[in-house]
Amino acid sequence: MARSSTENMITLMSSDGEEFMVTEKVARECTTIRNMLEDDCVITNIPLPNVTSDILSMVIEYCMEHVAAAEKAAAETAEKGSSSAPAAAKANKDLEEWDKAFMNVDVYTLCDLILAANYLNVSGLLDLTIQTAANLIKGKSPEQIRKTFHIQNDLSLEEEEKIRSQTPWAFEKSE
Amino acid sequence: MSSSSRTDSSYQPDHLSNLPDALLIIILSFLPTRIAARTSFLSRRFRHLWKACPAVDLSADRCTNIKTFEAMANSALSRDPSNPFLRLCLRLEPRFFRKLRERDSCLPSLLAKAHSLGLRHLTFDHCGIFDHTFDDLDPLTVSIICSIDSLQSLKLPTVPPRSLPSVVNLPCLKTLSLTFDIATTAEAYLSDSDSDSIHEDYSTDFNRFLSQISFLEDLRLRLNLNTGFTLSSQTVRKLELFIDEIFDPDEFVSISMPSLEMLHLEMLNIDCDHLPRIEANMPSLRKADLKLRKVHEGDVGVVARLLNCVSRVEDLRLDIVEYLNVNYPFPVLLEPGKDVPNFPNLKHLDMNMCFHEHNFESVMALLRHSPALESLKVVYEAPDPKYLTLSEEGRVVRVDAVINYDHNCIRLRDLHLGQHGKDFMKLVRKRTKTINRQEEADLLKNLVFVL
Repeated sequence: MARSSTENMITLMSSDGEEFMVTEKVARECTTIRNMLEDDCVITNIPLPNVTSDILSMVIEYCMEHVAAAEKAAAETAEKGSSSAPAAAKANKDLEEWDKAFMNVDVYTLCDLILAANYLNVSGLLDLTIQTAANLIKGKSPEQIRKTFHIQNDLSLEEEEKIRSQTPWAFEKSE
Repeated sequence: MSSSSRTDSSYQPDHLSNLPDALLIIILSFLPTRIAARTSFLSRRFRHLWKACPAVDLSADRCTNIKTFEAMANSALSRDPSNPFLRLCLRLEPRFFRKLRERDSCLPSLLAKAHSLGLRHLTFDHCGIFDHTFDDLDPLTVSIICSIDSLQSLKLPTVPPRSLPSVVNLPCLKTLSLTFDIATTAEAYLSDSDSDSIHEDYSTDFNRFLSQISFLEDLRLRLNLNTGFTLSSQTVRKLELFIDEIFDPDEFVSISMPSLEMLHLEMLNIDCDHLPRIEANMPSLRKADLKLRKVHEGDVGVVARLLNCVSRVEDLRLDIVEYLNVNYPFPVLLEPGKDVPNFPNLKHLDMNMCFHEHNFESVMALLRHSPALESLKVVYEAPDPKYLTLSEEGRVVRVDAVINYDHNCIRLRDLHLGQHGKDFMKLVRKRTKTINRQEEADLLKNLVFVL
């Protein structure tokens, strides 16, 4: 994962003890880690007891892709502040496509990614995963949503009836 | 329905339920309220969760039943005041909006409720086809909205002049977006007063309205005009202005904004044969983004004047599409024979246009008058091919190239500059501090002189 030896490397350790070497720049995509590094700049080994290795490797993959895209865009526009031309639009579109493909995961992974993105405070990934979860809810009946997310229905028949009568508009078919 | 899962006592937590309430609420906030509320039926935990969403989205299409909408609005706003209420989105289809207005108390009581809950961001918008005749905001609705003193940002649809409130209480508002429509509604006034006084009144009323929003920084305004207009504000720092057209070529839009730093101006010119004239006083302007569409042969004066208005910027972006006629190509940037404005602070210039012979000369002149220029980005925009037949063959000099010139590095590909190639290279060399030989060789190899 190292791109150049001059860059500071940070070791992230998952809950199951696996170690991931990443550049400081990639690690800084996680606001939680950035804050740790700013508090204690000599730290090089960070245990992340809330994140499993398979999820952590995905988070790192996401951060690396986005760091690379940002670096590429910065190199292309140099230090110029203004937005520009079709090349930037295409790069954005490519990254969106990448994100879309990245979100092709099962709901278990998705929920774990939401938790990890929230814990590590990767705002882009959090928005992406939350939006994906919201899209999975859209256009489905309650029963279909339960099925998608494996939610156990613990409501009694009376409670169900009451909810229906309180918010009938939520269950009307329109569109 | 789902009887087996209900009787299942060996309940295993699912993954969505592993998420804390705060995260589930964020997920629900990404959904229209009608959909978010549907999750109350999922399980006990979800039952009341949707009511804690900081964002309420009451969008409605034309099929939405008005009673359904009222019930939905009532439930969504019967919320625990301790849950923050940040966003309300009312995206309404015009025909539905008309139905809603016919029910006198529905919208006012909805907005009053939002007011009492301390709403911060309100988006009131059309959805579906834009339709002037149905969706003008009435004075009562606007005056209620303009009294929600907790608002920080506000997006409104078309506001006709008669709906502008005389009293505004928006002390926290920083961002405002609206369409101010004089053209469609002015005919009603023409019968009882002359057009000059209308012009005065509309501008004055609108500026009085703006001046009452004491901390307004960010204004996005679409002006639908039939006469000239004066726009002024002491506080606005960022202006996005969209002007469709003004039919009388003697009328103009005047902008007076001493704090303005960023201007995005779009002139769309749909039915008119000239661009609206702009006069502006913007001494703090640093960045200008000008998008001009259907620029006619006679518009060069308007464009040159506009360039004069923004001549002190550091960042300038020009995006120009010409309207082709039999005289094409014609100059559209600078008037031939007149003084070229100086751009003493210009560091970044970004141009998206057709570089035919006249424009190319103008661009060269512009570059010569920009001593501080650090980067230049030029994108060749081909004129609409359906008009190309209008010009005599051989008169159009084609520049089929993307010229990309950042700081000290130049990338030019397949450049066709006509007789201006040599001039351009001279200028490029002067501007460029270090260009390595290989790059220059590549550059020259790809230069094609078409004569």
